[in-house]
Amino acid sequence: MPKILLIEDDELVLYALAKAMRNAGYDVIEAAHGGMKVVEASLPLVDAVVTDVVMPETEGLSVLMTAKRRRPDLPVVVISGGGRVPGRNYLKQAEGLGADAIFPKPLDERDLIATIGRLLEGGSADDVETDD
Amino acid sequence: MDLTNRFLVNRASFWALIGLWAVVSVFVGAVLVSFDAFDTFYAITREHEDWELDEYVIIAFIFLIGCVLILATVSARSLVVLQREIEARTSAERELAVARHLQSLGTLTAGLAHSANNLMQPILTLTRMTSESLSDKPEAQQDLRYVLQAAQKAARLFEDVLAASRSKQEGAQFADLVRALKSSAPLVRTALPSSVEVTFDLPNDPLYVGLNRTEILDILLALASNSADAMEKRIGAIRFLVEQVDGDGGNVRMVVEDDGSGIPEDVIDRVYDPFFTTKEVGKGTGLGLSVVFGLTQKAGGKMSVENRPENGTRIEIILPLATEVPTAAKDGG
Repeated sequence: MPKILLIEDDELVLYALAKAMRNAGYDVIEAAHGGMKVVEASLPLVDAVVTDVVMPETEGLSVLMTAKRRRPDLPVVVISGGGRVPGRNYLKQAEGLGADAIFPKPLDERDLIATIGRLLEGGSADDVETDD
Repeated sequence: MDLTNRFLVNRASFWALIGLWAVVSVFVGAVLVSFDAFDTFYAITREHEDWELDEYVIIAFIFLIGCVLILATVSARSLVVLQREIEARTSAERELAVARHLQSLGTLTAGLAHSANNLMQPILTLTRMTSESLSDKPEAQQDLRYVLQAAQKAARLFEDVLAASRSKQEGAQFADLVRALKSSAPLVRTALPSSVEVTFDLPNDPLYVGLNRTEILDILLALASNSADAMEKRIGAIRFLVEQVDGDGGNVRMVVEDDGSGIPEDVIDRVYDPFFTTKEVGKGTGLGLSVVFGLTQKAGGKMSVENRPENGTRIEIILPLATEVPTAAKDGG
């Protein structure tokens, strides 16, 4: 079962998205606190990362860059509720920094899971699903 | 032009000064009379005609009068400079207050958006998932679908309302005043109690001014809430009128009239002061009209406030028409 590292500081969002991913057959490692140490410790163990951007303890964009540096093969999905300060577009920045997919909140968990599926198969986030 | 106002002395203290000088003059005159001053002086000068005292006295007088004129001119010019400095400082303070106000509004909005988005996530996700798992309980499943519908509408509503205040408009410099007022009217009506009647009298053609949609909305809300606050028991009518004046390439006039209690005469000049308010503590910051004034100035316009003879206040804003509006800068929204 593929393991996904989910980094999100909002407890309810964390619960809902983790549940959705487990329902879809993935194993989820939840990281709400602990900062970069927890993230770095978990990176070798997982097959994909889903991370929020604006969090009190950890900067999502740092997670993205660290993940890409340590494990360039690891797909990273960035999600965001929007900046707390006006005029910041974090998702655009994440794209520029190498995120494999971006989702603004509130997202449809079905789209997130479908995208994770595609990325794990080695495709890109925008691959059109083929039925066979 | 009222000289006393230009010279920073208000009417009352100017006349008090004149009155005081009149009293002093009378007193000095009385003293001179008691000493029979002029005759004594005349006798001395006749006794000593060779001293050329007459001429010295004349020279002294000419010199004294010259000094007085110089002093008066210098004082007048200093006062004018001081007046200009004070105006510059007040206008800078006003701009700062407006900027702070708008900035904190933007931050508030962004924070709200972030929270709203995070709150919608578990609502939508968990409702969808639970609904799917209830195929054996069709009624419960349907109920959850309704919950989802309502939640999705709420999400869209958040998006619309927050988008209206978001600084998507930060780059835009021009907007069609007529269209901005038309689309903001429902928002204004929502912001006021239903006992206040708001009417808009707008022309059919677009009128572009040097303000963007957000700024126009800010002006509208400030004017409307100021008018509403001046109404007894919050019952009354506010009327907005927009028309083009002074021909093509001219100006736009926006008039706001209400039938509230008006602005007391002694405070009417202070309404532009960013922190002046007659509202009780805790009931509004008084920032309203100062915001309007700051934005009007930014757009190169003029604003005047006066009380209506019948009842209430009339605020008139004249803004120059933006004639050279590059199409890309035109706010389509």
